Amino acid sequence: MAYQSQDASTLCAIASAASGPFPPAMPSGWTLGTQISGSSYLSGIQAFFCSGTLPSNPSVTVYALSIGFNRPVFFPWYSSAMQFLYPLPAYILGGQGSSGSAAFDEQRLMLAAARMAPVSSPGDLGLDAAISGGEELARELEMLGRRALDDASVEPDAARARGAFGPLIRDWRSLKFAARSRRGDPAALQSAMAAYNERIAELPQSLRAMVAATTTGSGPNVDFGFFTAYTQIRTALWNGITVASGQAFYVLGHNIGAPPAQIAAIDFSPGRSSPTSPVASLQAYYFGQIAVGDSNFASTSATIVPNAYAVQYADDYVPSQPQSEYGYALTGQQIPLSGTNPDPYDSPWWQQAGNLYCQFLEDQASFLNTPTPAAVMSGGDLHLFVRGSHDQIRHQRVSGLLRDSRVWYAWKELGTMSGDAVPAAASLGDRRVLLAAPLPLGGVGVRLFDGYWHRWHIVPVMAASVALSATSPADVVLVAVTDEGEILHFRLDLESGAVSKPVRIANPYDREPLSVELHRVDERLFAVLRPKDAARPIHTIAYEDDVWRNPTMLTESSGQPEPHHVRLGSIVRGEPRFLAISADRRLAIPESGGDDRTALIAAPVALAANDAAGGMHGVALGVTAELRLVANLRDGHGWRGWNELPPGRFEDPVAGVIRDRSQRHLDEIARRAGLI
Amino acid sequence: MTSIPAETTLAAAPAAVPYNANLAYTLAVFSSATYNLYQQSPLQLPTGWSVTSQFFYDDVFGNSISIGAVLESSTAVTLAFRGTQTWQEMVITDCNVFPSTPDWMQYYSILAGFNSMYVSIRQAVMNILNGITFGTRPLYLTGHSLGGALATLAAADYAANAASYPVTAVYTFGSPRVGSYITFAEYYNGVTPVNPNSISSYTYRVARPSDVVTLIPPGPLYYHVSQLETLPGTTAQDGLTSHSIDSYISLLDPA
Repeated sequence: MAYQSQDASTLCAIASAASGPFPPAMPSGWTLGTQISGSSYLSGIQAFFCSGTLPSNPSVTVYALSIGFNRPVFFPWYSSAMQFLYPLPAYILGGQGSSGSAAFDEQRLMLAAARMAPVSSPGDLGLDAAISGGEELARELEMLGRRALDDASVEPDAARARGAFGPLIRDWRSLKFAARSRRGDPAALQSAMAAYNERIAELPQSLRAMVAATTTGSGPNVDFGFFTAYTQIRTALWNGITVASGQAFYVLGHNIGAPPAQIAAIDFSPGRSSPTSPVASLQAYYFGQIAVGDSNFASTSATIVPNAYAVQYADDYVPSQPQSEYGYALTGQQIPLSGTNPDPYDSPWWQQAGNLYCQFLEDQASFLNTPTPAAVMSGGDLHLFVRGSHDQIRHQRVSGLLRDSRVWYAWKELGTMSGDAVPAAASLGDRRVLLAAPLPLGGVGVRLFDGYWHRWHIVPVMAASVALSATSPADVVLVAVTDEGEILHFRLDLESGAVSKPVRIANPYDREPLSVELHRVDERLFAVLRPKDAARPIHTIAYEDDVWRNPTMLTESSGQPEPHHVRLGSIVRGEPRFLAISADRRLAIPESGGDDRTALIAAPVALAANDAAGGMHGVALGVTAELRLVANLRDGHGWRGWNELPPGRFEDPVAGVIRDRSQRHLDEIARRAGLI
Repeated sequence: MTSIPAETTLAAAPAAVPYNANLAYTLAVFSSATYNLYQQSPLQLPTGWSVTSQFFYDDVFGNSISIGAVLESSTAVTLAFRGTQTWQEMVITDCNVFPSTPDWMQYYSILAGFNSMYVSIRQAVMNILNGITFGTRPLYLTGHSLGGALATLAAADYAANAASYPVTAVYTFGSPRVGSYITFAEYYNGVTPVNPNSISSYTYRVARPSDVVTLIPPGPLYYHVSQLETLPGTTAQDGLTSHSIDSYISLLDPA
């Protein structure tokens, strides 16, 4: 099973939810199953099972396990003393590993857990328990300690640890006593705490020595801290996975949730003898992966979990270094994720955030699998239409773009459309813009703007994708792809409200999901049919030169004759050349000399162009998690390169926060603060 | 005998230096710039401001890692620290919540990870500051996340050791808890919550209620210092942590 880019955004949302509050929010159409969380898991590890469908195969229900951490608990719990490689026990590897019995390992880990529990907040376990009533946690520590001290199975390797552990228990009790009997006496608490922490400080070395003494063989090694955390929920996971018996199963992890997910992927991979996983197949998706094991673990993982994918955003610094220098190695097939942080203010916490990953993955999926946002030039203005939240069409008007780069724009809700369609737009001279969009109650709405918006004209067809082109309001061509895969061609007269009978165009893709774009060069009309499967060829239909009003498909070209023609935008006057975006998000304008100028842009992308003033003006807009405009101004026949439009004040369409990143704005506030 | 007060009592304390929303916004931008310096990505600073010095710590492999900067203009000087960037910084610095009594401020208990990071750059920063002719220019300390903790420690250090720097205000954003109540918070806040002569009187801890980092490490042994300035609101960058400096900048925008 190959990596599915259209599934990645949904899976990322599920993965990142495991490090949030429980019960976790589920993507639309997904059902939450067993949840595993709570204060008894000292590391803050938490997980949940869920089921639902994925875009790549919406007819099949799949099951998923997502693992994460309660961050406020995890960070104090984990420590550098826990970051060392530890042999992955045989009971995880299903008999392929080395290193002792499961019972022995469990015992050792309990001892480790007991050593780590106090570290969760030095002194807290006693003090916190005494002051805040966390007696349950305190009892757990004591129980773990007693079992470790009393159980002969840890002999002889735990001798050193026992030597440190006994005094620890005693000092912890002293601390509890001091906290209870002399509450509020700083000196007594400090004294008790100091003794206690001194004991704690001795433990890491003892623990390391204990682990080293019991290490045998050269099997794969994993991070001790993350493995210990995983063992805290392992039993619960094996109990919960029965719901996925015989089903396709995904193991997911984001950021600090990825390390235990990598272990779980091995633990639950099917086809091994002991233990026997009930799932039919297993895929693993890691996002912003932190390495959990050594290269031996990575190669073992590649063998046992061949369908593991690690999506890494280049600007996510958290997992980037210096893991390899510690002997750690990433697992899974690396899937680079590109995307531009739309803000000049850098923020690594945002760059590692699950919702940024999801957004970029959605952008990527949108880029490859859905039509472009609609953009159209009208005179010196540029109109951009995108799908906003709740299927609202959003419109931005950028004025004076080509004249002086002064930008005025504000999102406006224009109406509601259905499903995952996006609107289509066309220019009608200097002041008029046409908008077409599927409407939720059926039909395609076509709207004319010439200073103000006219009412919707309804074309009675349920469309999944629309495209339009026009020479006047009385002469509009609209092509709609229906949910059933029919390609229908209409002529509209918006002045009289007349809509022609539909004419069917042969669909070379049968009933595959499909989008359509219309492009007009002089009097020639081109329809571009693009399947949602990016690997499938694009078909271009050229209408006869002077009978394009009478839609007869004259030529059909298939395949991807040029690498750029993944995304077609507008067509340069004269010969039908395209502004095009390639699969790697580069925009190209083939020059007469054959030298393609390219520039990397963010996605998804809308392209618009006009040929006013005796030359070609092309504009490309990259719409990312927020909004960013990237303009390519081509004045006459001269190339002016890429200009990023000056950051301006705009309303974040998601959060509604006013953001102004301009230098002028920054200076104004600094001036008010007396800093300028 | 001193009883441990609720943290919220700090917010109502008197302030010797009033909170300045414009200053907070600009210092948050400076804090963000320290991330840019680490990543060697472009900066956006107010006109007339520039980075005049950077300071570095040596990681376990001997690499020099940028952790903060001094920014100057003709009107003021700012010492800014960045927050955690890498997993290794999380493990070595943020996760090291052992108590530590620093050499530079004896008798006071602070988090060992923060102290270790601070000590690694302390002298370099002081060398830089010693070389600056302040004149009438004030010195602002600021930082986000781990950087907020470092700014707090720097403020405590300069006060404890009678440094001659004209520290006028300290603004931290999304700072974790830095030290113990029993010693450090008492010292920083001036025993009674925010003594007008204490460091807290000119220190503002800007925190979003949903920012998970401000909950680390758990109380009550470790304690926030300074005056709390709560920052309500949500942004598209919140994710599950509500911690990014970008979101702070958005919500601090006084326009």
